[in-house]
Amino acid sequence: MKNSLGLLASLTIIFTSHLCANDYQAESDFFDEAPVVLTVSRMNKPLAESPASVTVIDRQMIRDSGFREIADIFRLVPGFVVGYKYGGTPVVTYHGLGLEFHRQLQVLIDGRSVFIPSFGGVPWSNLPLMIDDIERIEVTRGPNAVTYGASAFLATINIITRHAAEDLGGKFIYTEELRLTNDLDDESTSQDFYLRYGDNYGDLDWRITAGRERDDGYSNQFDSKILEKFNIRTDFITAHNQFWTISAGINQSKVGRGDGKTTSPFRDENGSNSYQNIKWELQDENVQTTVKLTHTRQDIEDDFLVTVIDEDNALGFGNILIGSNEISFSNLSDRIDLEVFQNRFLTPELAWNYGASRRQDEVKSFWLFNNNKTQRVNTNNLFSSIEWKTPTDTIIDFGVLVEDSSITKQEESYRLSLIQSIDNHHVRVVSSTAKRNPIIWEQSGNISYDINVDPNFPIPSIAGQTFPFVVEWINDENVLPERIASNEIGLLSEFLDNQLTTDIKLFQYEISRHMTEEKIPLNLPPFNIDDDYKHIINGDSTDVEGIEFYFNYSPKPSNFRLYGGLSFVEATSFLDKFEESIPGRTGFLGGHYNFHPQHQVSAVIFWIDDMEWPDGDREKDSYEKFNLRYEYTLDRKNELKIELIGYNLADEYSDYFEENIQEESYLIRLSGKF
Amino acid sequence: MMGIIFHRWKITDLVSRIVFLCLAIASSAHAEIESIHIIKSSDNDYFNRSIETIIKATKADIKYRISTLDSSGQLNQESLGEPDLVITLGIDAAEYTHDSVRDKSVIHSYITEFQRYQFNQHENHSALLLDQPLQRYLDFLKLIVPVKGIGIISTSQHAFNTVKIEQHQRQSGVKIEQRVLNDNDNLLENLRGLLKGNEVLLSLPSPQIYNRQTLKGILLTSYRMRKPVISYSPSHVRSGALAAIYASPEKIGIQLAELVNRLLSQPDYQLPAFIYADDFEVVFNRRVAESLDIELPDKAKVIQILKQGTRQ
Repeated sequence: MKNSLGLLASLTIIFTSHLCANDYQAESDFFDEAPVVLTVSRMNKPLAESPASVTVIDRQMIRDSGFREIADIFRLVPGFVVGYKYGGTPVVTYHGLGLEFHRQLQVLIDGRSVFIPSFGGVPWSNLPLMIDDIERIEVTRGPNAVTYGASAFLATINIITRHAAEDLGGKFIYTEELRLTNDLDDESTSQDFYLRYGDNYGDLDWRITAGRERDDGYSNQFDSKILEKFNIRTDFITAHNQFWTISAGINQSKVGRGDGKTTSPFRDENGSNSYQNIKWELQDENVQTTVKLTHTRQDIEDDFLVTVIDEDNALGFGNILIGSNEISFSNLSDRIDLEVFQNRFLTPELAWNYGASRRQDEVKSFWLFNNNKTQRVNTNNLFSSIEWKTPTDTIIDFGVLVEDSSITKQEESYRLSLIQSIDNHHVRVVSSTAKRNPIIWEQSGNISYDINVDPNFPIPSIAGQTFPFVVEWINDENVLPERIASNEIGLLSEFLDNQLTTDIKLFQYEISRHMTEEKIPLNLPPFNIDDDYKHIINGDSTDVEGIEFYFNYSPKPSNFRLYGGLSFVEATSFLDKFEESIPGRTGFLGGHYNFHPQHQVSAVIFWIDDMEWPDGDREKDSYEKFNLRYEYTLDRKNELKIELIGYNLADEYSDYFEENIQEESYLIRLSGKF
Repeated sequence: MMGIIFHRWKITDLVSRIVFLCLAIASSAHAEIESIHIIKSSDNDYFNRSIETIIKATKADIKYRISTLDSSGQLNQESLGEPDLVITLGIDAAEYTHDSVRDKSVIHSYITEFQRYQFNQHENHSALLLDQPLQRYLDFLKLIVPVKGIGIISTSQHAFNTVKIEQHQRQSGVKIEQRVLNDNDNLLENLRGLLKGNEVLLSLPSPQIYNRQTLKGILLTSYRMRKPVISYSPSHVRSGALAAIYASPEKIGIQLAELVNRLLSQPDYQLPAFIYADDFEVVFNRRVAESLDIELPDKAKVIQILKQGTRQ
């Protein structure tokens, strides 16, 4: 680490010493590209200059889709698949391997990682964020560890919320859903209500959003949820070139859990997801400095009593109570991130981005570690990338990330990209690597529980005593991070005065040292329970290749818009269910049409090829999903709108588990400003 | 109203024609043009697009030589040669030829009106200005947002004099408030004060005011006050200004080619001291317009009206 630090420090001195004051170059002032902020390299740059495939989802696309869950929005990205394991547990995956706790995606909200250190993955439903707070979403399809470190493995999602100045005044949104089920007695519904108010005071803008969501979930599962969300964002200026953003939010959740069996009784899990975020930006003539400090917390309370009954009469005493125990799934996770970085224009053609971050993850969970100690992992990152625009319209970008974590040894990730522009066509060749560290419990977990044998148990020698009953996971600290090496060739083209944009990419990547679970047989006395426990090992490699296409046709001025995407993927893997978890072909087509200033219709259709979820039991099958929306503006001045939305208007389909049926449903939404 | 604008432009045009005529009488005629040396300040996409257009739009038998200044602002290891005409792109190339080319006709481009004043232009040097005449900015602005008063921020180096401001106020019927800032003045405080009494900020090229360091603060402050920014730069529009009027690299190329063709067809044609591009483009930021509840006019119609005004 010291060597890497020294190298980066030397580079800083070398490059900064070449800086000189520039005279006013009018042509640059007039024609240099717009600062469209893209997450892919932390620099302000247009899409055509991004050293990766980036899909931008804007507010209009979100509105067109009619979706009420944030996770569903990612259906609008080529190669992404979304499923619902339970009503309140959406899973978002890119190129398969979708699990309830999907660990190969980096997800950021305004640059703050929302990855949960306890189980990994993203609590999509429990994010303290309302859809209407989102300004746009940038999805980088491919590894981006150089910019965002571990977890930016298969893809990076950055959700960018609206500046507080954009939401002055009040707004309400009320949505009521009615699902059409085969069971006429079933009154499975959902209901959302949000209220927002924004104002300013001097140079400070602020916005508060609060909301309540209720969803009955699948009709066959105990998975209803009630969420109460609140967030606040303030933006202020302390000098003409200094910008501050301070934000905080909390989501309180009550979620139905359990399958009704004695080992997993029906119960409510109470959770709280919160964050605090402070960001400072200093904009100088050629240097932009950003300092961010963020804290994300998840606090789950889920304690219940397990009773074990010999239902099969395996012990020969009849259907009797063997014993019971208090189980605690409760856990507390904290992630604190401090990051400092600079974008520096050494010359108009040469930009340099560099910075450092320190992240501290803490997890406390009796269930995962069999103790009440706080587990802690510190991760330090140094990153740097150089972008050079050559006189022949070529952009060369090279970046490196050095990451040193307290649970793995220091490793480096790289990205090299070359973009050649010919008129309105931009060919990019990108090669990048990334790694994914094991999460804390994968490496240090010790999941087991005992059973307190009932005092009335017929065998006196064990009655009233405590024995190990389940051993699920035993730690293995020798596991190494898994790695990905990715190559892609892409072509982004702009037609019709930039009204039509197309992007096509051919890609190939290899995941090596795959972190996978290995089962070890185990026999637990005194009941001679034959079971398996699991631990993590580094396995073989997986190869994935394919082609993805995206287009956006947005004529200006116009009363319609059309966009869509396709993804064809093939995988070869030793991992159980990996190949089956990737749908070979996925696609979507969406758009809207304003046939009158007060009337708009929009529709989105999705095709998902045969696939199954690794931790589900859904049969491999293809399905289509079709949403149709009509919007009527009652009052243009106050944006008073009524929307009628039809979900799943194509055939119903099973999601994740065979019995999870996604049915036709209808929503009515009323929104307006005050 | 448009009739009045056009009528006033006629007068302005007449005055400039008289100035050009006087300059023409004062200088000697050109020899026939066979070779042109184009000197770029640096190698970039917009210069190359303009050069491509010049070459396409002029006679095929002209010999072109294209050079780029090195980082020290000199022509690296090559002489200027003996071209019949020199075209410069960018301020560095203009300054280079100002020092080294005195006996040849030179057309400078990609420089603003205020940059032209920075060096004492030789009589046989002409300039195609990158920015638009103030009156065109005002007419453009009025077609987008009906306003009574606009604000301009500048430094003493780039400020308009009171007479010119008053003249344009009379011509456009719009109150113009100009704030001239010194080094120690607080930019955002002045901007807020300016926008309190005016409906639009008109940004005009002034590197001390509008640069990478200040742009975000200016656009954000204007947006917070619900006051649109009309700009000279299309890149400002992409960053959050409402609209801009500008000459694109291709339009600049066409304009330069027209000057070359004029010299070819009329060897005794005297280049004007400076001209504004009479072909231009406009760009809107529809998202900003939507946020500020501004209904944008049809872009083609705006260009058509402004061009009619230019021709008259």
